[in-house]
Amino acid sequence: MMDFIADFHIHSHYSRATSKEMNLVSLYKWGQIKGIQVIGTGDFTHPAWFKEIREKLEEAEPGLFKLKPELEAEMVKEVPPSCRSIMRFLLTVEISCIYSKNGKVRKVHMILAAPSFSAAAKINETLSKVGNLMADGRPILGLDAKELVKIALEASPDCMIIPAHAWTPHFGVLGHSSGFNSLEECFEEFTPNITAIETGLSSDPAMNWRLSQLDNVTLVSNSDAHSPGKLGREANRFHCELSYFEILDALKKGDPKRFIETVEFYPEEGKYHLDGHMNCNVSLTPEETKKLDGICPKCGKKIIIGVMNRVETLADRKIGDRPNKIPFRHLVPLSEILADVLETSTSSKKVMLQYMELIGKVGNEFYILLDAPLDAIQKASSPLIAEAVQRVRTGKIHIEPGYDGKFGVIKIFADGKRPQLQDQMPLF
Amino acid sequence: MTQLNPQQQEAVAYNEGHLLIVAGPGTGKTHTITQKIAALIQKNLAKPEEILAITFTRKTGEELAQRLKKLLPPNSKLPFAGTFHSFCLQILRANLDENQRILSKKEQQEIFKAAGEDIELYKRRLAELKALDFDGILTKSLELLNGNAQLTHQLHQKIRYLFVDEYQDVNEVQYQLIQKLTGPMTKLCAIGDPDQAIYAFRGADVEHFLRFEKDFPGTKVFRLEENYRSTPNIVDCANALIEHNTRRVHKNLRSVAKQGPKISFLPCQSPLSEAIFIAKEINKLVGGTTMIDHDQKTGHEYDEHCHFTDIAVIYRTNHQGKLLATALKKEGLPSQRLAEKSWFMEDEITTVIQHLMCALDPGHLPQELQSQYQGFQQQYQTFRQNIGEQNPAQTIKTILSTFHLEQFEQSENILHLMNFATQFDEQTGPQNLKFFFDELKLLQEADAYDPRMEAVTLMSIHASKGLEFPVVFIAGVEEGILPYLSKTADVQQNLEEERRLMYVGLTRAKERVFLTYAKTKRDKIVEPSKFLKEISDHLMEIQPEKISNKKIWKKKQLTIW
Repeated sequence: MMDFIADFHIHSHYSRATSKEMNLVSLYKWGQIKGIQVIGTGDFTHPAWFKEIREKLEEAEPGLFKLKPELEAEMVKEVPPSCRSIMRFLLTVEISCIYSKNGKVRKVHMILAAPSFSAAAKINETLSKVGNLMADGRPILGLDAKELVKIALEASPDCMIIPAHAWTPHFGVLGHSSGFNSLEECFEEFTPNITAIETGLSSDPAMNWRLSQLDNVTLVSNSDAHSPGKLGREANRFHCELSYFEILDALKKGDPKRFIETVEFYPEEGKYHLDGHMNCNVSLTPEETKKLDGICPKCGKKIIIGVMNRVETLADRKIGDRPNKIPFRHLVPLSEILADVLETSTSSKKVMLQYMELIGKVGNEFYILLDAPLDAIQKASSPLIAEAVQRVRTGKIHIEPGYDGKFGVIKIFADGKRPQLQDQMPLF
Repeated sequence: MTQLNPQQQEAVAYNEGHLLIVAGPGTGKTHTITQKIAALIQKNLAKPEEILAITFTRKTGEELAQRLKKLLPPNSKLPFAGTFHSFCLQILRANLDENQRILSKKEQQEIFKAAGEDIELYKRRLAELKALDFDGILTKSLELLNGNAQLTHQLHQKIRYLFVDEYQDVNEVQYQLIQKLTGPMTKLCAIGDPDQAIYAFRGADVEHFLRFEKDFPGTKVFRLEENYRSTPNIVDCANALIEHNTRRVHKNLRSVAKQGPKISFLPCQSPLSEAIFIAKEINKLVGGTTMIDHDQKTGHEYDEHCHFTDIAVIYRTNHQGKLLATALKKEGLPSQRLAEKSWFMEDEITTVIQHLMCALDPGHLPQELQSQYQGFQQQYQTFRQNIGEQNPAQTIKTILSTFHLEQFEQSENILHLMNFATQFDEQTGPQNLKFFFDELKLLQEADAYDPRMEAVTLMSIHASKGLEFPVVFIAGVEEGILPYLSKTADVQQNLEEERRLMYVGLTRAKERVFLTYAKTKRDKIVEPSKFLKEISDHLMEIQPEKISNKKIWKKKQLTIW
């Protein structure tokens, strides 16, 4: 039995618009800095990436893989000693299914995880006849999502099948633009084979609990990271044996003893939380959209319906009506907290230095965000940063919600109201 | 659709004698034939077995039978509906000795090759083998009918109604067969469109259609002119084009569909930028395929988005397809190219398979591998000793290194092979290797595509005959390609055939047509097709977006004439 954090959904450098750093050794290093112990490989349908996976990883526990010893020996030096831990991979991929069903074009992203190289290879072999797997680590296939479920199950009944960011308007299974009104409408008799659904950045479990149709569906959270810095921005905490099959079983049963909690974005920060038009600078709540009949007051075209609105359309319960089965916590990535406190951008040198300082002295990012004593954080940084972490933990922050592809903006301290802590101790 | 429009109604009702139905594209030709046959049977004017319907492809024949089945009472007999070849096969089987063999396409090719590609030698060889090739089926049948008056008489007694679809594409032998099968009591009904005759290169002659009334006196001509498929813009454009032909039967094709956008014409800088442009435009048409597309509002200029299967990219010559397919693949768009080779048929794979055969099973090598085996005997023996406990993927790696083929390792096809091999990872040893090897050899052309695949279709204009798509791209609308530079003696006739190809291409589209061409090819200036001038009134020019490759894209005013 052990406690660990897992992030199933990431992309390799073979996917479009990803960082070169999304390779196995960097994932090994950054996974530990972030405090993740089990991470998806992403992209296993890509022939070159799959070849690399097979060459560099070996099975450690059933269905989980680790870096080969010679590579690990070399790489471990790159990991700050304060963060070093075990690092396991599981074979995952995201598939973009674009197809027509019931007279509409559907675009549904699906995460698959395979328990072995041979199961992954079987999936790859079948999918290579459905489309081109070379162009993108996240292949676009003209394949019904339900057929994809069948293909995965034929390769191995132990495959995980998880609709990705289920609520995003364009690619979510329940999304407004090209999704369905229920999982049954999409997967029909294969609905019980859905291991879990991913809530995505713009929704949290509480929003999902408002749909009784999801009562028996396990909710997971992943980062969908395209660069190492984004790893684990959402993740899952487990307390169980370190094994693919244990994780699978905990997910299938939604067992709160083994699947402890999910760690989530504040959904307002997600880039499809509210409705609106990014180009028109128009952001609308579901009620406002309704009043405008779904038409943008600036350009007169249809408004992009966000996740909040979509959840309300499909919800049959009020907030808080369902008992809390697997709990969750909201957080804000450490670099964003630092950027807000230091009044600069997340990619600035100032933020990076402070980040590494904290990581080196206190421990991995999840530890800092979730569990580390505030005085340890304060010692390694400043009272203001410790205060900011505390506010994120308790939800006392302000967020300008995201819409139509624009991320929400986090304001931990409302403008002009910074506590006087700042002056008590110089930062650098 | 069980309703018939007045023109269709007239053609269905007429049973006095021979008839010729001039059916423009999208005018409900199959519907009309089906209704006509069904009416004959329902009104007891003919029994199903007295009706013979010859179609251009097997598929059309099956479709016709399916439709008839729905119109006729359950369990009623269906008339014959199939190609000349399948009909002739029936005649031959009933009347020739059983030793006569029909050759598969592969067998034909092998014999042709063995005969040193000498056509006379090939024919002699077929005679010796008592074998018939594809063409032989028809000529043999004709011979049989010519020499057997009794058989011909029997057929005349039997066949009361003879339907021939796609009459514009019959060749000389087929024409003679029709003549032979049409007895004094037989009513012949030919359907087709001389403007869609595109098989001259296979010996078809539109002349047969044009002289039908002379060949079969007393013929009444009907026209189907209401097009249900394409927008008025597309039909007007196709009409304007085809009016430049002389060898045709006049018809007044008019669209009864909803109006749509004008036809887009898009000059591109090079064949590469043309291919990239088409891929990008398809991405827009489907409303974007990635999250990034959505963030960048790709495809917001289209109010309604279409599906991959709604789109076809068609072209005059098959080799244009390769670059287009590559561009679509790079864009990550699911596409299916008719006549594409599958990975397991590519040269690298063949090489690896041959090495595997030599190494694993030297006792059963085909002739052509004997010398290869002799040449590398030593290596094959060492190889065999080394692979003892390797799994198939490792074995392939060993082959590549043993035979100095490391350069293959990054090739897409070899990656594919390694991937295929990983399925057999769980066991090692020679038995498992043989299992993998057998599976590999079993892969067939039919395995190349999964029937569940939904994709953009890429194909030649010839292959697009009879099909329809909401959106059609015609690539390479330029002098030398469409019209294709041909060395045939008759320039005028050739040009008319090429114009008909353009006409067929245009009339495949229901809503949108994009015509593209490359302004330069290997630094040579390319002229746009003369056909563009003939339809210029119906064109809307769109300037393609600037394509990333700046070197090939010199900013110039897009003037075409």
